Amino acid sequence: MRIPIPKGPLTLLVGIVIVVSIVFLVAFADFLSPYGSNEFTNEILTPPNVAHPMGTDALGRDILSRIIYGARVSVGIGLAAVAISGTIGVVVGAISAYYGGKLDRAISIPMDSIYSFPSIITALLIAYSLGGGGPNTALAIAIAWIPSYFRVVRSIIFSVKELTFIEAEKAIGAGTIYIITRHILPACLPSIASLLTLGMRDAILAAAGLGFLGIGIPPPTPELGADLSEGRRALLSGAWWPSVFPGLMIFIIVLGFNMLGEGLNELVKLRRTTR
Amino acid sequence: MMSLLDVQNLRTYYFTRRGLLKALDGVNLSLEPEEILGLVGESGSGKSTLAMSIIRLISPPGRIIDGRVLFCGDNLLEKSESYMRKEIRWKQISMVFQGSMNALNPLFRVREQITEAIVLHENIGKAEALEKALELLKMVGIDPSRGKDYPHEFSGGMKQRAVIAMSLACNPRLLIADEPTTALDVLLQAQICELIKSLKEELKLSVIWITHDLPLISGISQKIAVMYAGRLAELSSAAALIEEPLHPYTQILINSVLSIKGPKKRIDTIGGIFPDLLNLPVGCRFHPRCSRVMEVCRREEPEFVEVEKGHYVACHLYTNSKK
Amino acid sequence: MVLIVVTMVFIVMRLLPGDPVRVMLGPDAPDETIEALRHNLGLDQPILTQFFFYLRELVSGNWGRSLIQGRSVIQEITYRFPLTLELTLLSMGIGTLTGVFVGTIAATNQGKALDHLIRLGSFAGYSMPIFWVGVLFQLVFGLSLGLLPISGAVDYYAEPTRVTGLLILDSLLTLNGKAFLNTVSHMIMPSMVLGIYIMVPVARIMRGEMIKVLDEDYILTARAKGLPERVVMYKHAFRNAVLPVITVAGLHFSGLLGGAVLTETVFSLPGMGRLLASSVMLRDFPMVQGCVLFFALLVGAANTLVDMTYRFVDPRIKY
Repeated sequence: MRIPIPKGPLTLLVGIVIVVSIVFLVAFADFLSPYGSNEFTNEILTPPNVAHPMGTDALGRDILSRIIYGARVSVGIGLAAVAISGTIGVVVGAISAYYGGKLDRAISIPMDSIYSFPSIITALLIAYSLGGGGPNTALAIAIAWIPSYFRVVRSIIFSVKELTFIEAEKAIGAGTIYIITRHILPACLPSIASLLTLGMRDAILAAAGLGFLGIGIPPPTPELGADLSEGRRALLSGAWWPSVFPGLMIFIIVLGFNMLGEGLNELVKLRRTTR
Repeated sequence: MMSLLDVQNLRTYYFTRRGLLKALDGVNLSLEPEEILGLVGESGSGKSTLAMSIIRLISPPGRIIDGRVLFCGDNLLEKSESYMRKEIRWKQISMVFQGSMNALNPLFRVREQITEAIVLHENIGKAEALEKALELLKMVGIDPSRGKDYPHEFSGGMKQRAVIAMSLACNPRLLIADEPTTALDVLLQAQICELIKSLKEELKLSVIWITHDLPLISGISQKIAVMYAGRLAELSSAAALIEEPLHPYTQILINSVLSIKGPKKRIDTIGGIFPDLLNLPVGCRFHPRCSRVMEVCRREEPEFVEVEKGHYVACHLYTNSKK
Repeated sequence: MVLIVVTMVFIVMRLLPGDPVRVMLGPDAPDETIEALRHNLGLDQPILTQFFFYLRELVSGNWGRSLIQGRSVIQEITYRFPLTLELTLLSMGIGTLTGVFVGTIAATNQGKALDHLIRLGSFAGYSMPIFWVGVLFQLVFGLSLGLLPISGAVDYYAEPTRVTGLLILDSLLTLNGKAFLNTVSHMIMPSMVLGIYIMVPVARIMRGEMIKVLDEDYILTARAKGLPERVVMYKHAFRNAVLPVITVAGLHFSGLLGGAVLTETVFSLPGMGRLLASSVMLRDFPMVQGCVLFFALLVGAANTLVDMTYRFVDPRIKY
């Protein structure tokens, strides 16, 4: 007889706090950032000090400012990617699951294949073919992650579809569109919310990863992953700040979305059991 | 003559976050060799807790806080855990759990699970233990060649019988069977009853048979104990209980059973709901639902007294007519 | 599944907007060069013919030549692949073992402080970008404390004779103690870093399963039999709980490969992951294609392996 301390509310709370702060940061980057993101100063590779709380990079740019703007870029790419893949994935998943049968199988097989392949590499491949650049990266990530959304939505819809009340609705003679919009989708909504949030987490990590590998937004635009990669060069000369801080920012952003998404998950579970 | 098992004033409480749960609050009963004792009660009455308390498998937040459990004269509550493990559990007292479908580990072959128990307690080699295991299977009516199968390959009834076989692996003196037939259909129930009866004679076994099915148990047990909300309401020989139930609760239990052959009668039902063990009523636990409740019932808990020879009851209706 | 990926690669490389040839040569290349290269690579044929050639070449083992120094693609890959395999296996092993261990601890301390701490840790662990963790490790263990080397798989002076290509294994096989220590010290950090990626989901699943299993009747029966608690835990509880872990580990294998690309880049390990990364940077189209295809084969093989293992371990699965 152990009493579980509800972890849900706490996780959710922390997640909300972090994400809201990030949004705030991103929206007001121009006001909050002490310097411009590409403002060159003469202080090259200086360790953190009062003027530059996070030090400067090899080109003399203030790192704090760069990561603030970089956060904006990462979140931007993440949002775009999730918007695209979320929409497509959910819609296709819903349709495929609802109609089932051959259509479902025809769609599922390529989806599953792409799903079982490392998503980062898929995104890498697509981004590479499209050429670099921000929008292309977002698109690449979006495409690579469509199967994830597809699968989850599909399984949710499958389980909802089998619920008896759907049978009852059909017996009454309700039309397909009606059933989908009035009953099935609302049942999925809470899960989809957490799905999208966790999707943000994956997308931002992927964007940073691609940036790290050199695909994505070309310099001098600040991108957290790319900055980290650049910062590595200074490691051997003892400058840890150009690589550690961008990574820290990625971590915080991702952590925020992670906890938010997991918190939402817990909420969904709780609601389901108390119904 | 010393009883095989003598439970005296056993109290087991659960110290939960929501409050103190008095699962057992002063239970007294005794069991003789080669005797089947039926323990009857609703879900939550404490039957399973009693079983677990006897072999001391109560884990936190539960604790046995008072009483004695005398097995052949020895108080089990005073023994060390290691003694319980090596000498008592399975060797002297074994158990068949409720919903025995799941008492078998799905990853191991059935015969292995039986030999595991044998090898643990007896000093014999694996080959001999295997032989014994297969014999046990035969005894419960399972073809020994099925021993090498995995639990999921057995039917429900077979699994139940396999679990019984397993429980007899070390030739215990006492078997505690917690609702061994509840999940089975009527035919299987009858089979299992017959099986346990014959085993009792063959192996000189005593059984505590826990159930909520009074008619079932009245057919095969020598003694019946009726439990309610952590205490015994009544305890007597089976015949006496059926003929002349004293406690109002017992009376309703008996009258609420339909007999196919007997005359038509109205079934009595009990009003009210089972008490919350965290918030027991003051006085007699049954009084909120009792049709013969008296003033004293609301104030004081009745003592468990012997009203006739071997017939105990805890009810204010009888406290003054002690022998 | 492999077929799908192969086709997908083809589609992506050929049909997407963005001319691969132009991408390879850069925007300033003169048109003749572009046309020449295009003809060389057979990209000026109709699509279906291209696809046919593509398949034929793949199957026959001719995976083309790299644009960098004309090395044979398949040779490069087979030379570098063992190291990636080594990294992957090590990370898988370390991650799974620690994950199982951590998950069990969390389960047996359910609801208490340790459990919550572990859950918090797994949130954090999963949110950390692998390349950042790698850099942190390098900083702390490599540069500050000077304990471990921060790049490469082995120092040239300690390189063992190449038998399988898995350097640690090779040093064991050739009984080369010095090489063994050297390779191990190089591989510890990358394996640990990549192992985190596996450890988190494994710990989570393990915890959940353990909790579920410990509630089962057969555990109660085992205790009632008088079995010592240790046996109950390891023989009965653990074995039942660990089954889904196998599936989870297998599921995350592909993610592990993705992570390997990043980890190899951070630690400058000459494996396939880094090959892919640098080929992308250098716009080496045939090499990129080859690497991706090889990854596809790997994932396919891994999935089959996981399937087989699962059937072997759980008697309930029928053929």
